Amino acid sequence: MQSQTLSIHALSPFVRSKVDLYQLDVHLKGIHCSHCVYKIQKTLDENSEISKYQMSAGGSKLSLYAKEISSFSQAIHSIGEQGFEAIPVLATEILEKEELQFKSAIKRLAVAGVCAGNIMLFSAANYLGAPDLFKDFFNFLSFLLSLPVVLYSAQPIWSGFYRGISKRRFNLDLPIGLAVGFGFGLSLYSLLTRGEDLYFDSVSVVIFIILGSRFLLDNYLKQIYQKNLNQCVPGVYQARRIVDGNESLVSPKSLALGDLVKILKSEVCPVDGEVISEEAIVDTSVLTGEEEPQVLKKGDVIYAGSKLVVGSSLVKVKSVDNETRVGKLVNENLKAIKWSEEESFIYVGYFTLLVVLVSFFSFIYFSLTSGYSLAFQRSFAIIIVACPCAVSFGIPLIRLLSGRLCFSSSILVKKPNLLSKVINVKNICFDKTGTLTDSVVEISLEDFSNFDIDDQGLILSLELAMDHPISRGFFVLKNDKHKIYEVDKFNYLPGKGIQGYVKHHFVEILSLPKDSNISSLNKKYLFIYKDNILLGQIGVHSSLKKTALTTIKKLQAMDKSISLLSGDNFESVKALWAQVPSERKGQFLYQAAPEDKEKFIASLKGETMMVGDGVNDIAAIKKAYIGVTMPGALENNLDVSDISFLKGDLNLVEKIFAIAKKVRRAEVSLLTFTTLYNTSTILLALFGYISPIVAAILMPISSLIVLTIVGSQLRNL
Amino acid sequence: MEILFFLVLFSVSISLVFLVLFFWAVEKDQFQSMDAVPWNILDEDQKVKNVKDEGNDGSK
Repeated sequence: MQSQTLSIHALSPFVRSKVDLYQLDVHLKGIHCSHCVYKIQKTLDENSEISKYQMSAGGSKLSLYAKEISSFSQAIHSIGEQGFEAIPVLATEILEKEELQFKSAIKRLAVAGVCAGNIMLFSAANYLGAPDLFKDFFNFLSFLLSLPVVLYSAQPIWSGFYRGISKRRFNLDLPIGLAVGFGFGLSLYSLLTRGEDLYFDSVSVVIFIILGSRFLLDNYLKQIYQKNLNQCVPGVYQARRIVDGNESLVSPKSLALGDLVKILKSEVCPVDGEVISEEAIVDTSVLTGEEEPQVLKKGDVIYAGSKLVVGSSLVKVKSVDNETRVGKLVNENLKAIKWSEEESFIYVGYFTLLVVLVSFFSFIYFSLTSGYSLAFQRSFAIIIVACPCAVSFGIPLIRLLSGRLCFSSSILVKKPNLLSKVINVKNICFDKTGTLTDSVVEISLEDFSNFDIDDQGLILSLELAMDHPISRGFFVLKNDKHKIYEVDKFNYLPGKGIQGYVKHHFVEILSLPKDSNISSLNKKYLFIYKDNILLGQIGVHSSLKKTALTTIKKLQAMDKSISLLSGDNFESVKALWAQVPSERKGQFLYQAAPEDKEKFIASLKGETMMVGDGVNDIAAIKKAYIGVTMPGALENNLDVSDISFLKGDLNLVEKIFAIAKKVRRAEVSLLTFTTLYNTSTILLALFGYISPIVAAILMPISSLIVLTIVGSQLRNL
Repeated sequence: MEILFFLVLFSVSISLVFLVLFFWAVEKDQFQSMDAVPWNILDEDQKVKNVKDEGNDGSK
């Protein structure tokens, strides 16, 4: 098979135009395990023309995004070079392809199971001493029944084998294909020459068990992944559908466009829809991070995940399940499973190479000393029993279970492999306003009321132009009398305030007056200027979160150095800094511009975690080894950060480290177990204690043990 | 003893018949979305709709 180089003309029908990127969906052939997924992701990471990509959990669907259509051609070629086949498909074709793949896999498995089962009956009869007449008949039937297994069921193994040979790339199918081919050839030769070396039973059973374990593990992963998606709307497993005034409980998936759904107090809205009741007061913190309940009027859009705070409400369904706003969001982000540079996959590569070498040399040795028959049995058993599938299966399992554990703690982790890195963090930098203090700053209504209604409109227009704890405080004061205008030439002055042109007036809201210094930690003023004339001042008050200092102390006890980065003035930051215990105390920055915070992060020795919110932290969050965002607009946060908190609870920082510790322990257990298991089984196979059939049974057992180990360690926090 | 040849072939053919039936079931989407079935029980309208659809088919 030659790697494909498709022209722009050939790709065009499959390409979809997004806002500033093109998207191409491809169906991948030849994916057997997460090591294959890792190889493809590594290839794409090295391709700078691909802006981003998303891969489904099973690895069969890949979405590529690039600025030029020609970039897709190069990417498909590179994937082909790795020994996989990328077939461009239309979005609607992907489901069909997945269905066909599922059907094909289950049919191959059935054929292998039925034929291998019958062959084993004949083998048992022969081993138990069947008469010669029946022996030949059973051997011939075994040959006939092994043909569909080898030629039809084992097709995925042959495809992988062929790709490995043609691309000169090592994969797990190479040794398995070699052993199966050799075993079948030797058996056929023995059948024709009436020899004793017949292995139709071993070959068929091994193929059946390999296909079966791949099929089950693949579907198990998909199930866990699906559970992750279902959790994106926590607690919603049924919806109250209203038909002709009658209420019935149904699955949210079965709801159709235009259906009416009733939500009661404390229930979570299961769909995206339109509010039919006069009013609905909802908590939208999952989506917006806004802790204050929102008042929705008749006709307003309500999103899945919003929790009804008061009474009951009727909602007309607009979209359900993965098509909802939160469903799409979590779908997009959780599907982007990137394995990055996983040490464990390097382990898989070297270990498999070692197994092949041991198998090869044992075959040579036993051929010379004991004949082909014994040599084949030993080397075949070694290859089968030492297949490091448990690692290929265990690592994604750890990622998925730990991702789910995080989600249940209101932590959304964008990259699953990140959690094992969290444990390396040495420094933690906190933003002050909105992170250590409450996300809404209290604005003095009395001071605000002193301004005339037009000036109040100007102030609100400027404040609402950005998302910041202070602007959220002003938002609370907004009412129907206020007119909100467009802001021209908006400018954010870190540590000083904001300015811009509103309705042709140059408006400034500053934390310090232009001619004096007045401020303190918990009570300070904002100074309002209109066309450079001081209009007045408004008192603001922000309280420190109750958990802030206890969290900092706990993190210091974990040997993490704490720093504070703030855009606020010196007095505010210093007063807070004085309360931080002196042990493992880093530095504090005041009046820090986004660039200052970014430079500070870069200057720190050791891995750094930045915890912040608001636009002024984006650069620092991106620069940090691990970027964490406090609740805010979820879509924006996930674009810039590695980890997003769905609750404004600082205890979550400590929780991340607890989960990371569990993940590391699970990884160490996994690698220790597989090394011991595989080494001992290789030795047993080498000395003839394990036959190929027993090897095929032992191989998936290691995956089952891994499932138990990993599952028990990552079940609960 | 020759009857054993026949019986063995017969038993193998029965398993092949099973295989053909299984292929038929796969092609008829009997194994698609296994988790949807328990949910469908809850969906009263779906049942009614199915009955109506069957009625329509029959009247054509």
